[in-house]
Order: sequence, then C-alpha cells, then structure tokens
Amino acid sequence: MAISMKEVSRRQFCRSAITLPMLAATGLNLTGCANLSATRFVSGATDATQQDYLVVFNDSGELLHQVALANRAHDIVAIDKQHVVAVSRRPFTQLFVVNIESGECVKQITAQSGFHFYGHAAVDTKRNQLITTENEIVTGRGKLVFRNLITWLIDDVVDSGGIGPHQCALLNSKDVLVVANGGILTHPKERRKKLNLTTMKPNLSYFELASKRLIEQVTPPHFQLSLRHFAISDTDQVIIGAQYQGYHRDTLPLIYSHQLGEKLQPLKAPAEFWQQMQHYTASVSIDNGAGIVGVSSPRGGVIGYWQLANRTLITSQKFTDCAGITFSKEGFMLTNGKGQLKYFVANLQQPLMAQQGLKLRFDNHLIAVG
Amino acid sequence: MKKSIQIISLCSVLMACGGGGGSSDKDPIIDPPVVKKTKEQAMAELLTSQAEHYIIPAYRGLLEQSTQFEQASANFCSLSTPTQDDLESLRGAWFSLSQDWQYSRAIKMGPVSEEFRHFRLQYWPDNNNAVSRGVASLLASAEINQFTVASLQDGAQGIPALEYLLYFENNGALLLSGDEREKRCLAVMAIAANVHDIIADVVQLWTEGSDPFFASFTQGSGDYTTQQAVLEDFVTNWFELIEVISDNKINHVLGFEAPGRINDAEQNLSQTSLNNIKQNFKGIEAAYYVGTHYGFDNYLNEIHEGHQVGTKIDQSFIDINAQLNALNAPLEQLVNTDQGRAQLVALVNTIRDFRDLMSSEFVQLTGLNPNFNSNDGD
Repeated sequence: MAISMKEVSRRQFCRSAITLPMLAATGLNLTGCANLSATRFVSGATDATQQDYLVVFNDSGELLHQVALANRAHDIVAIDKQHVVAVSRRPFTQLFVVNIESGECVKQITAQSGFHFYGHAAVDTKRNQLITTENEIVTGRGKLVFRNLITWLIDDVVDSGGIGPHQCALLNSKDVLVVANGGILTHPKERRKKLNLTTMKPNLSYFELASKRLIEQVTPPHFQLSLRHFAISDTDQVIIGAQYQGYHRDTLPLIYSHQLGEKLQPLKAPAEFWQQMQHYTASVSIDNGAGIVGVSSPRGGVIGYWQLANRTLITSQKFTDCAGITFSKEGFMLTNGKGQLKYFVANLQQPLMAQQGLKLRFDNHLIAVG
Repeated sequence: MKKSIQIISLCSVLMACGGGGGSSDKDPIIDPPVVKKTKEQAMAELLTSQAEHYIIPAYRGLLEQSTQFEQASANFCSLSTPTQDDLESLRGAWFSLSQDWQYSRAIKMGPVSEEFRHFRLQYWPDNNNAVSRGVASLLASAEINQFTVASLQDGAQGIPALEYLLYFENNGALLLSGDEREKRCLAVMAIAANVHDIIADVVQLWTEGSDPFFASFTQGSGDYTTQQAVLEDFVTNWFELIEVISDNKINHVLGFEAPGRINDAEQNLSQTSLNNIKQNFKGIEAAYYVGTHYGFDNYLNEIHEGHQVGTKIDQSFIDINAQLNALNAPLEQLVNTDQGRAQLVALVNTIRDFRDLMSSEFVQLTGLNPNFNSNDGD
C-alpha cells in the first residue's frame, strides 16, 4: 500500500516527537500519532453478558474486530500476520483459529477426549506445528500436544515434565521449547480447586524440539511458587512470573530470570513491592531494545518494570485489575479487566494513548501482531 | 423490609391525596417534579449510606460482641468450679461474636484487609492445621497474654482458635477442670483480648484520626481514584464472598458423596457452619438494601431504571433465604444425608444463579465492573 508524503511526514514527526523526554511533562494527547502503526493487538475478552470474544484493536485503542468465541480464551499466538490461535482456559477444550484481518473464526479444534487446554500454545514454524499445553484428565499429568498446522491433526503427545503446564514458547537461538509447569493439579469436576497445594512441584522445563527430549529442568526456591507465565528475550533470557500458593504472610520474589544451563535468579525489588503484588503475577513482556521487562499483577493492580541486565526494578505503574502487557515495536500496551487500555511509548510515566470506554474485560494476555 | 415500608408510605400518600373525593373547590394537586440525582450524586449517597448504615454499625456491633466475649471469658475463668452450663454460656458469647464477624464479611476492604487483620480474625480455610498448631504454640509459651498471641502466626489469633479451645479436645472439658484449665483459660482470655484489639483498630481506622478510611470510602480518595472505583471494589468483594460460600463453604464440604468433607466445614467443631452462611447472606443483603436507606436497589432504579433487574435480585434474596431457612440441621449433618445433600446442591445452584445475575445483568446495567482477573488463578 502506498503511503502519501503527508502520512510519511506525520509519521516522521510523531516518531521524533515521542523520543523527546520533555513530552511526558507536556501532557499532550498525541492520539493522531498513535494511530500510525499497522500493529494490531489481540486479546481474549468477555463482556458483561458473559459472552467471550477474541478482540483486535489498534494502537489508538480502536476496536477493529470482536469475534465471538464459545468459551473464555486465555493466551493468543500468531500463526502468521493474518491468523492467530486463541487457546481456551482450563477446563475448556477448544482452540479457535481467527483471521484478524477479516474478523472471522475460520476453524475450531477440539482437544482429544480426556484432555483440556491450559490456555497457552506455541508455534514451531520450522516444523509447521502448534504445540499446546494440556491436561490428561484421568492421570492429571501435563502433556505437550503437537498438531500439524495444516491438517490440525495431532502428530505427537509427550509429557510436559510436570503437572499443570502453562505457558510455552520457543527459544530464539536454539531449537528448544520452554515450558512452565505450574505444578498445580486441578480436575474439571472440581471447578478451579487446587488439589495438591502441599505436594506441588513446579518447574521450568526445556525440551529439544527435534527429539522432544527433556534437556533441562529448574525448580523455584519454594515448592509453592507456581511458575506460569514468561517471556523470552532476544538473547534467550527467560523471565518467568510466579503465583505463590503458600502462607499469606510470606514475602518471596515472584519473578525470576533463567538462561539455559544457568541458575534461576530472582529479580530484585523491595519486600513492599512483592507484597503489593499479592503473590500473583499474570503477564510478562520484554522490550529488547531498552532491555526492560514488564510484569503485570492483577491482584495488586500494579505493573513492575525491571532492567534485564541487572534485574533491578526501575519503575512501576498502578493500573486497577491490570491484565495483559505486550511490547509492540514502539511501546508497552496494557489492558485491564475494566475495558481500559494504556499505551506507553518512549516513557513509562505518561501513556501516549489511554482508552477508557471499551465495555469489555480483557483476559490476562495480549499479543502484538504486525 | 425496605420494600414494605415503601409500599406503606405510598399507600398513605394515596389516601391523603385522593381518599375524600367530592370536594371541587380546592386547587388541583400537582405532583412536585421528580428531581433525579445525577450518577455522581447517587454514588456519593450510596457510599455514605453504606458506610453510615451498614459498615460502621456492623463493625461497632462486632466490637461490642468482642467486648462481651472478653467479659464472658473473664467471668468464666474466675469461677473456681465452672459447670457445663457456664461453658455453654461462654460458647454462646463466642457464637454471637462469630456471627457478627460473619455479618461483616462482605466488607473485605480498607482497614480489615490491611496488616493481615482479616486473616488474624479468621484463618480459614485452614489447609495446614495452622489453628491447632497456633493454639499449641500459645499453650507452650512461657507467658500467655494478648501480646504473645499477637506475636504468633495468624492461626493462633482469632475466632477459630477460640472455637478450638471451646470445643476441641474432649469437647472443651479441659476448660472445666484439670491441670490444664488455668493455662487454657489464660489462652481464651488472651485471644479474646487480641480479637478485641484488632476489631477496635478496624473501627478506629474507619472513623477516627485525620484521615479516616470513611473519607476515602465515601469520596473515592486515598488509594481510590473515583467513587466508582470504591463501588467496584465493594462489589468485587461481594462476588468473592458469594463464590466462597458456594464453592468453599458448601460445595467443597459436600464432596462427591456422603459423608462429604465434614472436617473442612468452616466451623465444624461447633457445628455452626450453616449459621455462618446465613449471616453472610444477611450481610450481603444489608449491603445491597442498606435497610431503609439509599441502597444499591435505589441506585439501580434511580440511575439505571433497572426495575426488572431489581425485581430479579429481590427474588434471588427471597429464594436463597427460603432455602437456607428450610435447612433444619447443621451443615455437618446435612452433607451426610441424601435429603440434606439434595437441599445443599439446590442451594448451591440458586447461589450460583444469583452470582450470574449479579455479574451479568447487574454489572451490565450499572457499569460497575468487579475486578476480573484477580482471582481466576491463571
């Protein structure tokens, strides 16, 4: 698509303007600038009638598509620039393939009998396969299920290395899949009850994709630190957030850094900050350019940002019922359970865009496509 | 209750206006224009009404019960040869305290949620025997007083620890006689004083000082950015309590089959778990209607013209209360009979319907969005 000179000028102006450190202090609302990128943000959401959706919006917060789903979706993964897969939360059994250009659900896949999804998946472009984390209900064992992205048939099922596998993703430089096994046993008949809090064994597992062999597994410093959500940096630094299931007065770091072959190391923050997070982290996203990771805590209504290099907390923002966080090419987009969006570009103090009025409750994850 | 008062006052107005007839020489009576509040005015009135007529009275009542229990424990422990009737009297004072706590459970915000006060008053569910371990630690302490209690883990500090001492281990007989009596009496009095102190702090933080929580709550200030945010926090806590009632307090105890998980019932030692649920709903109902004052029902009608939704909510309260009142045995016994289990399953379904009604139609109409991602565990 051709871009007019006028648009280019505006784009250039906006890109230079938002790098000015003084901009935040002016309080200027540059919504005209925010609408330039072709990035689309995709998230699961639910409205007040309990209808579940996959929603697509742009960096101005304009809703582009709202695709009705049969149940609540958790994380979204992009197959290409046009298609995404929305993965059902536990104990649901559906995958939804959605064309985010047309806003159509083009395919719906049901988990094999006796399995349910955990809300997360990864795309292995090398082998053209989708990898989902699932629960084999009768045994309670976590499974990695490999589906062909063309036929959508299951190619293989292997143990995930633990109970309650959650987020999974591929390393950048190695043919390796990372899986967070939360360690918590649940059963669809017991709704969302946690059945093994005194014996849980969470871990972070690495699988060589060619052989599907477990090559490394690390455990958190406390057996009740359920490792669930992570992001991977360009240098394959895994930043993983935990949900603590132990004594309510304990104060432990909730976020850890790990590199294959090395030790798990906590991110640094004052005890008061971990207390503010109330034992609960949700979404993790990395700005590789600035070397910053952002982590949301819906319970605490707070997002923390750490410098990757020294694992030090650099700033935080209050955002009630915050949910998804993702870094696009330009900034961190945040969602919450009250239909609000915030887009922080170039600084983390003043959002370039803040959208208040969407009558949706965003789920805990958000991705940027394009 | 509010409904019947409204009907009575409406009837009296009608009688005064139209009852006589015949007289045509008076000026026609013109109804005064109805002045509707703005949404902001209505929120302000609702929050003030909640604080003044439900929350603070509920906490003051709880404080009074804690004072009475403290007194009752001192009286009991001063007896040289207490009888079973004396113990029953002390248990009655504990039950009143526990009931007032359950009535206030819909307010899990502000001072009670700070500094672990909520956990200190009631550590439940107790998945790791914190209460029995805490009481054992207290009894093993060199000095047993309220400061020792306050220094121990939360299981030792509150209403469940008192229940444990009053009902467990030979059904509380160790409080009546024997070598252990004095130590156990000291423990009861020390926990009673600790409970009283916690509740006194809650009341004080709500009402006194230069920056009482009452101001933040009614004005949407302090940790809140708007009055709507306060109401949303309030509604979130309701929803959480309703889920705790249906999932933890009833459904979990039901288990898959009889006899259920009786030991996991909230107050299984005293067999008063069902009373707690009744009080929880009394509290939720009080928070919704605020007696004859400006409640969520008024807000719904005045600002959102939600008469139909309001009628459904009224009916839900009626249904839940009817089902609760039809349960004529303790929860711990009901889970062990076919009829009791069927009644409890029906009650859980009605409570979940109520939860769905509130989280869909009520939320949709009022635009009050409870927090969505805080408790989903994913």
